[in-house]
Amino acid sequence: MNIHFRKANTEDIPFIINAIIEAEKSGTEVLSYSRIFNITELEVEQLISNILDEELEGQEWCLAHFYIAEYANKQAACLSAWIEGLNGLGSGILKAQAMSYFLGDKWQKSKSQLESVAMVQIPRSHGALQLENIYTAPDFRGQGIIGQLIDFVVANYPSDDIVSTYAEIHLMENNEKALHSYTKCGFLEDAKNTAADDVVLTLLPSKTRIALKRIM
Amino acid sequence: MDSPEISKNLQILFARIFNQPEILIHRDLNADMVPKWDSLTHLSMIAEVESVFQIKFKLKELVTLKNVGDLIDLIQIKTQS
Repeated sequence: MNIHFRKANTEDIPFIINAIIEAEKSGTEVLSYSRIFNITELEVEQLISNILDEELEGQEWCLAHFYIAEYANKQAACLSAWIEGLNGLGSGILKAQAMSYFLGDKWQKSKSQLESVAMVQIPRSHGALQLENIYTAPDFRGQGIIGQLIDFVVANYPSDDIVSTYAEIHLMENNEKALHSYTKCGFLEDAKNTAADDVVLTLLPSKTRIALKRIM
Repeated sequence: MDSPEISKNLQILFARIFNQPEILIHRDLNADMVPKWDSLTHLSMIAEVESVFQIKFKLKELVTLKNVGDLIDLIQIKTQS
């Protein structure tokens, strides 16, 4: 199978929005953003679209950070990749700023849910290459495409920007297939964080988050 | 509003938002240096700054802030315009 790897462009936006949502669901029906902010999946799509339009570098929902794996002119897989904290602020703060800007009152009303979700967060390593929104379209699963895409991005990420020798992936523990796939790519568990309270299960697909690391 | 007056107001605001009465703000201070400075407290801080200084930031302005010095400079520009 001849897979072509490239940076994303505006024509990929619908594929990327779907990828972000499916990656967030981690193989379940739980879309955390819908539950945290009490908004529909359609509103989540609009929120992601608005943030992608802003081209805010240094956080995961930036079109310029996305890479696409393509087969016969069809998008097969994608991921977003950036260096954590390269321009100062961490990706969590940048993304939260963008979300609060577009959500307005809905953000303000969701503070208790956000505090619950924060309980399972693991800080991203400053200067490390971050890989997020890792997704393979259903027709292309089980063929090792995502592993090839990860290898391509790690090998070809602009060397001027790299300030750490590590690549990181953060995911929810319930996503066993993805965990197996990343382990096959050489990623090892580096940290794990479990919420003490089951309330988080009403917001997220799992109460445990895992950080994986791989030497670049 | 001049820079020392902005700093004085920020000192009070930071102590309250980050729940650290002893915090000393300076131009190089950033999120990595304050344990309770996460995405939630950052947004609370920005909302408080907008309220105290009676200004409104644009998203593009907010994402350029790397440290307290950048924040002071931006507040100075916004309060002069």
